[in-house]
Amino acid sequence: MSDKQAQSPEQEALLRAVARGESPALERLYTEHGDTVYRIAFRLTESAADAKDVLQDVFVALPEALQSFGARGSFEGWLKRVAVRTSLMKMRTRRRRREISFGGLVGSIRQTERPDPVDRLELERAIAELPEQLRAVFVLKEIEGFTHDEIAELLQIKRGTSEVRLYRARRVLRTRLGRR
Amino acid sequence: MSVRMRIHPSYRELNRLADRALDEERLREVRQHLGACQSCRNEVALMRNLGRAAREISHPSPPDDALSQIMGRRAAGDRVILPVASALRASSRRRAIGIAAGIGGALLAAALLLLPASEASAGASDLRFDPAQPEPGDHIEVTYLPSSALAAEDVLYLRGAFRRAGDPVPRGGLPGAFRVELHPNPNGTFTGTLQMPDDVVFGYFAVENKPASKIDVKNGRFWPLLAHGDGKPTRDALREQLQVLDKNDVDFGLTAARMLVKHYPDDVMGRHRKLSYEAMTAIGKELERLNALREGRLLALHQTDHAAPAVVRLDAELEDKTVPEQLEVLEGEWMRARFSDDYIVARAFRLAREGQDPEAVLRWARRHNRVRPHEAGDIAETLARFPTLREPAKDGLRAELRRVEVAAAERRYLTETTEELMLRDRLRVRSLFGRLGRLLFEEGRYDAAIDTLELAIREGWDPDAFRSLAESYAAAGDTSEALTLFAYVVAGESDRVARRELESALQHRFAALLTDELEWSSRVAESSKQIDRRRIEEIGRPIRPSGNPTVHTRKGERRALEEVVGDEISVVVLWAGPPSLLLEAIKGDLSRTTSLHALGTNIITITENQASPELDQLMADAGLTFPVFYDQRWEAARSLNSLGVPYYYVVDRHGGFYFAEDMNRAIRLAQSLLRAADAAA
Repeated sequence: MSDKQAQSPEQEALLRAVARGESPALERLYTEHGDTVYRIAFRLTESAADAKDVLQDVFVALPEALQSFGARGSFEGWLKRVAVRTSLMKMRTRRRRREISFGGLVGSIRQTERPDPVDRLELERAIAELPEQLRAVFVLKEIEGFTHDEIAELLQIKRGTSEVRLYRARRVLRTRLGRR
Repeated sequence: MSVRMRIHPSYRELNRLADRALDEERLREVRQHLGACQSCRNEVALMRNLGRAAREISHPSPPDDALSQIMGRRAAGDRVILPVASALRASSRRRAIGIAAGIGGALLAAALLLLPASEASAGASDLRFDPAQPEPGDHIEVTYLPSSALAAEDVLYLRGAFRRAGDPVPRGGLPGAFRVELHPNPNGTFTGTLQMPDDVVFGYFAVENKPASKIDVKNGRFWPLLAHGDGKPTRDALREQLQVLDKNDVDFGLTAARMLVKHYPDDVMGRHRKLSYEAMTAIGKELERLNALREGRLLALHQTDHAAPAVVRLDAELEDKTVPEQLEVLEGEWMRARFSDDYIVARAFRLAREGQDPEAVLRWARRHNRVRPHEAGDIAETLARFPTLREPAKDGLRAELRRVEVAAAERRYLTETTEELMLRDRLRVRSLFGRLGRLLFEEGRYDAAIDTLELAIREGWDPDAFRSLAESYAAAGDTSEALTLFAYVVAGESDRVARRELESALQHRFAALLTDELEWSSRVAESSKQIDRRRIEEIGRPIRPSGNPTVHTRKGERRALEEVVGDEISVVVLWAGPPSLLLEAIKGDLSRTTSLHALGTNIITITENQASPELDQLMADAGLTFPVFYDQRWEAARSLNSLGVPYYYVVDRHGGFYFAEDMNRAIRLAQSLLRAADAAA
């Protein structure tokens, strides 16, 4: 995930408006990025209620937090990292209610021509059941596309540790999905 | 295809390939292998498909009312501080200062909430007492900030025990005497109250869930509660803390000893222990300096302090005496101590046993059982080694069996889950039945021996019990059953030479029955599988290193222990910390692991020795090719609370460390895990 992209002038203007506390600007930012924040939070916390809390906390705090962003690098990359950190906090402070959403999945299973299709319903369950540390690395790397260096920084671990956790997560998933 | 290419790439390499992170040189080799290996191709395809499929999983959209609630909260003036990077770094500093200054729970909780994930699982929980400096008789409010593993419980329990001054020091694990209910609060903490009885000086605690399946023991250090007087911990409280908890952890022992000396500089026990711990935790030249200093100081303590520990005085009195003479001295001490000194009784029993004096053994065993009734089973097992003491031994074993059969909550150690207590009891029952059965066998009572040993082997794999049972069946004339059991004994022997010798002896003894070599091999193989299952069932809970310890490579690069261990089954030989030991001393042990190495098990050696050409040469001479890591500051050793040498661990594929008492057990367990993994595959 690259963090080097500069903001377009239009986006910079939008972010400045949000930082000034203008509600319409915040609404627009929510429309553009709310789904991303919610997706990250849901994947990490495995709880719709916790994901909603994270989403709200992030956007309620965004105008003030943008002052520390300072328009350096990609806003989306920065926002994703904030969403990850807020989700990690939530995971440690709230009772976890494990909720697995099966909506719209069953029909999509095994529709692919790939050599070894993975049953996504099973996969979703297996990801939800991963130990927290392994799930965090797997979600951040495989779903959200963070690099091992970025994950190491986010989780305050070493790059090698992030790699090992990803391998372990894959191994657990492979076992749970009934493959060698 | 080259030999190298016929060997499958490691799981890590396949992962790196799937992630397109393999270096160029190796990439070519692995690709070449993949061209000819369907199994590895499938593996890489599955790894990539996992990621692709995970990205395609749909996720629910944000609830429709989320935006209106956000705008409503902002309009109402609600503000939240987000953990952006700078706030996270600041929070780490705040935490360290907050704990040191002992500031209020709210700030501590806020600081802990901002901890990075890796620390939160290791030590984010906290237990606070109010008042923090209680006096005996006080009612105490307990607030627990839960670890992530316990945060989702509806109710938690503070479990622990109080101690009076001079209570016997527990052997083995620390017992828990009572539980206090802790109720959840909206802020995520749990609270409850307890009263410190009038006559106690010290308490130690852990927190567990209702069925006692999850326990927070503060990384094995427990939470202490010290009785205070005149605004400081009482001398008895600090002494009890030192006596009870220091065995678990050298660092804690040193802290506790320093605390005692700080508040009571004249305390001989504190000074004595402080000097010992300082010497134990020092390294290199500092150690030499402290050892020299310690000798001088201890000498001075002995000469000037009339209250020098009784143990030191007794040591001096027993020096240069024969065993019978020492026992005579201890007999006098026992009389003077009015029949209650548990140190004397333990020491005298050990001496009598070493002196092979059955009469003295029985006399001191009876005294031992009066003073330490909870160790009566161990004593009975010792008596069983003396032919003339078989009857009291059998009585003692039967009494212990009756005691273990009663599932008593108070027998559960503070660190132990209910399941672990049940496992410990199973192992205990197995050992007791095994010993009793062997005694009956030695007496020629084969039917009774068979009945008793059958009960022993029902509780799990015990090579001695299987061998005794096999011999009992053979002696009773049932050679078919005897051979079935001998197959287990052969399968359980990890040493190839010993195994060949055993099989050869059996061939000689049962020549008429062992004519079909193939049938015998398949019987041994089946027995081997069953033993593996039993071993794996019994390995219990893995240990996780606390914190994120690192070790150094030969070139001085820092590597996380978690990364070093990797994701394959590994045997870790760890020797660091006092007493220091050179690699040479255990190279024999290490050379035995080469067979495991050949099977694909990682062998990782971690030493406090310094990297040197001599060490390299030693490894080369011993034919050892696996990597050595360096832990000169004992980071890894402390994280596993494994100071002292050597420690053997088997690490599973999920990074769980299983302690093995010696290299034999480590090898057997690693073999079992490997075979189980192969069977699962």
